[in-house]
Amino acid sequence: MPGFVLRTSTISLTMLLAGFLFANNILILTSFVPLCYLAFGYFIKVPGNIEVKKSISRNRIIGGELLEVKLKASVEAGFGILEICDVVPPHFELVEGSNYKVIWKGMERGEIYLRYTIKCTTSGTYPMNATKWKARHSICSFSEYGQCENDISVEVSPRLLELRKVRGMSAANKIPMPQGALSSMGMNTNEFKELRLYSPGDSFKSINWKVTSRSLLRGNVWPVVNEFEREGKKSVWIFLDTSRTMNFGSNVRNVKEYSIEAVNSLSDYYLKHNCSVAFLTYGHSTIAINGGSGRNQYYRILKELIKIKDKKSEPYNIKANFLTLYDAVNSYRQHFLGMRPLFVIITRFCTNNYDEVKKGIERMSRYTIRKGALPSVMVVNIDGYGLMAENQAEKLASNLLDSMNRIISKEVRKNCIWIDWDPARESLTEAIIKQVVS
Amino acid sequence: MKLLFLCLRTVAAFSAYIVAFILFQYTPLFHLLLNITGSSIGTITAINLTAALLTAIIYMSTRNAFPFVRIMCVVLSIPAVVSYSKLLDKIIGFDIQSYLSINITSFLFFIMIMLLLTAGKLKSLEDEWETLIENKTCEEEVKKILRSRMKFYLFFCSFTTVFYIVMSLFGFIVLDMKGSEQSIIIIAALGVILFISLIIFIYKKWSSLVDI
Repeated sequence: MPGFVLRTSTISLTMLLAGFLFANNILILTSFVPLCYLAFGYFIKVPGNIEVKKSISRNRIIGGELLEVKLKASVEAGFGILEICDVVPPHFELVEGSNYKVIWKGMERGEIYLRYTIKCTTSGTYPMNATKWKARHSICSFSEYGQCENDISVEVSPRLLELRKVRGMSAANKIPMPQGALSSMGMNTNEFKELRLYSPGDSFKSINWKVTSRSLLRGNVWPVVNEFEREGKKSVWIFLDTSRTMNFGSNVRNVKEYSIEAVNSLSDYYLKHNCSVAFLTYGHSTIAINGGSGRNQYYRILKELIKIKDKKSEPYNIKANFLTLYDAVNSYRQHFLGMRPLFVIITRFCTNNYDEVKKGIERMSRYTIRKGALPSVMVVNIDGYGLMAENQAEKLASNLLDSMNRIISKEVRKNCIWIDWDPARESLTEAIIKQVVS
Repeated sequence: MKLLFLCLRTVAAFSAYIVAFILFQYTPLFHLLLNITGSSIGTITAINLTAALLTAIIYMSTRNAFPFVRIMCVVLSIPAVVSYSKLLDKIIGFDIQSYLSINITSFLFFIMIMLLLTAGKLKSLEDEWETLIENKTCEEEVKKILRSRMKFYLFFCSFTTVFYIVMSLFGFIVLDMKGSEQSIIIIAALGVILFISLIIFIYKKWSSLVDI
């Protein structure tokens, strides 16, 4: 109940009682004014019976893409001002239009149309299910609040950085590749990889007749074959740091998001180069995807990458023992034996994780072979300081901190292929090519 | 639009003050002050100057003089209303005949209340204007909304005025009949019961709206 009801009732009653006490006709008569106010407040309702119909252009987008939202709200009852606001998740940025509108609801049925475009640069699954409204009374000074809900959500996949745009063979050859494959065209194993359309040369035995008959019903006459994993695939193990050191930067531009994009791009790159890619996280959340190849493996990794963003919101438990890089390598050591894989570590190097990275690299170098003087371990270090720098002084400070990190990491750099990537300045491709070639 | 609201608010508050001062001029208290100072111009100037000075001080310290103006209007008008109390008349013995009639006093008091309410409403509309413009709502749309709201408020004012006139006709003319003491007591008791029941009814209705 609004406070003004109590106030107005008290005023009215006081005036009336004072009027009777002093036998004053004027006071008795004017005590009707607050009563009228109260009656108007009750009998004239605020806008209500609100129905919202909402639609979005796509349910799945890639980070940085635009999403169009359309909303239609209808108000059936009441009088007064109605404010309606479609709630946009915090990582989204309004590009065009407005998600807020206010109307005057008179005698006729009120309708509100909202149309706006938003952009999201960070991956994850975002609910877009809430539309809030506030209805103000036409005479009295009180408002009613409400929310309309639906089941709309949008899945934002991480961006695929420009690794695939490397066309020149000289540059492509410089991107580290695993050394361990015996042959790239090995024998079929029993491990199912994916379904694909029949191509000339495929064995008739490999045709999946059930799926073919089902696709025939859909009008596709081309047979579908089972594809199995082949022996002797080159193996890549990607380790992503999900510890607190990665939570650096703003909501829109942060190290964690860039690290996810780097994993996405590298897994896409190596899978396209017919490698078997495994993915592990350490630090805060533990995700493990065993080695596999093909588009299915890419989607498996992508699915987990989207979940990482959602896990970010979970509170950190100081007492909990999280898996370190060393532990992660140690617990999967059985998978590396004889494979001689390429290890890729994606982290943000700083004094806090110096020992962890060093021990992890030392452990990894046991299971891989040396390419020249260096073992097949690649560290992608995301320099996050540049992301927070806005003015000249801050940029200078970020450069200083980056230089300091380079000095600290000098010992570790000697034992691996070290790539410093500053997302504020360059693309991942540029960073890899520049530093691997040099 | 904001400037318009400000001007209208000032005019409403100032008009309320004038009405309150007119009511004050026809009170025994004002006549007492007149007897003390000996000059009507001097008394009027002194009261108004004091009011203006206090308003300026309050405005300088709080940047909002409206609550003070409201208190001042009530303080100035209360002696006029209280003069018509039969109880105080019996105790102190006012010479009511030389002042404004009860009908005019009652109507002026009502007008003053409505003017103060309107000034308050205009202040809330002014705040609403600022909020909506801050939320990047189209200026034309805000104008339309606030105009509609003002129209609705004027409807409320006119309804209340008509209701008041009907009630005052009933209260001052119809009930001004000669009747026995018993009938007066019964009518008064019925009036009190009816009015209190009305307040309780509306209050209960409000209380039932738990979701607000």
